[in-house]
Amino acid sequence: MDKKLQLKIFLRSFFIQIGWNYQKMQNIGFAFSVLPALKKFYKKENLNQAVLRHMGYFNTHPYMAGFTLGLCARMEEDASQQNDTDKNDSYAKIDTLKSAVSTASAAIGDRLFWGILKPFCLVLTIFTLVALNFDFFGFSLRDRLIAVIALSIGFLFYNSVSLFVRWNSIEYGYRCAQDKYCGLDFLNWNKFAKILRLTGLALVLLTVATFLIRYDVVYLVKLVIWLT
Amino acid sequence: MEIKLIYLCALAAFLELDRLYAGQFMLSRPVMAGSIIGFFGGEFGLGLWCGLWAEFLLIKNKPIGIKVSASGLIFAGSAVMLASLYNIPFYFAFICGGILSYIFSYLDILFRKQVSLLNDKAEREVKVNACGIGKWIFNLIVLRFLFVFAFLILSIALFGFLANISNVNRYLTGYIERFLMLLTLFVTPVIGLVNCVLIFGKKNG
Repeated sequence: MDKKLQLKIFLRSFFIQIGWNYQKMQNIGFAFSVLPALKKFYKKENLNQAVLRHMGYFNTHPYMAGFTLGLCARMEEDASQQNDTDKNDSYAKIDTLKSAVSTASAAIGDRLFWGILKPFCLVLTIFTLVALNFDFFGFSLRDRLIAVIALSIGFLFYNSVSLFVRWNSIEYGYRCAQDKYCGLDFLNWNKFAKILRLTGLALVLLTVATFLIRYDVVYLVKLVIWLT
Repeated sequence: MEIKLIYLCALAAFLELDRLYAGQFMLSRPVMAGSIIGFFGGEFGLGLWCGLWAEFLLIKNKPIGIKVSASGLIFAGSAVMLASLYNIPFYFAFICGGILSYIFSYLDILFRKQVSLLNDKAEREVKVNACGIGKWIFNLIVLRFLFVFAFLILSIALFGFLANISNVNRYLTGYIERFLMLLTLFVTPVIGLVNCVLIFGKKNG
């Protein structure tokens, strides 16, 4: 896949959830994202029909949409070079594979990104705050700086993982077209999730331990007693 | 104050686009959005507090399928704005933010239903001109921005007005104050950390 096309699809994939609706979910976003590829393979009248075909029901995890986008780009490229009889078979196959790949990648994405990576980054941010001796009950210039550092660490870690998957999944999907298991072997998802889970658990425990050591526990207990 | 309310609501509406319509860089997460709104509102510390605490409560929410969960941005953002612009105590503003985020989730469902109607129009236009889809993308972004902006400005102005007219600070003393402080300052982070342990401790994520 040429890098220019990949970049166009990548940038448009940030809008994959636009116009999310109960009828066809991410259909508008998907058609918008795959448009650069369709423009390359079809001309005027055929282009309208191709975009319309991709305005059907579509739903996946936004970061994992790249697999389906790449796969569709490749299959549309192949279909555009076929005769009319074969084309109809190819279109039916595109719909089937689109549905299969989007469902499988949604299951992985929901579990990994929403279920583990998001809480992990929160814990990473809090751990950084506590480790750098952030004063929760005052807010000096030093504390502001610590807060910015902690927020940036969580934000950058989250986006480095998500952008890596978003960018590379497009080309990966393009290469593994015709495969209904496309994307399942992109990474060792289970191992990655397990590493994040265990590190996250360790960070929560470390955060609590550091907090109890660093801050005046007696004062906190007194405060809670006063409040109750 | 009115000018500040307008630009903070506009900023919050812009950040909310990241939640669903554009990007998903997690700028709309309560901890990020609360801090950014707090920073521009001159209350960075308050923003960070509200954001962290809102994130603690909503950490288990996953926007899967048709589920529309409470918006953390509305939660943290409105708490920061109510506390900083209307001098409502932090713990009470935090509870108001929580209520507003749940109200917003129901309105969001209605908004998404309306977008379904626009979807048919978009399809008809694509039949004639495929490149016209870009125009729909732009229109939808503007529509979403205006929807969130209108909700925020109306609800915060209303909550702030009601709090001031009823002089709510007068009632937030004694046991009520202590109870609310305990709930927001101590119970919330404990719930959040327990949730994190449950999330990371579960084998299947």
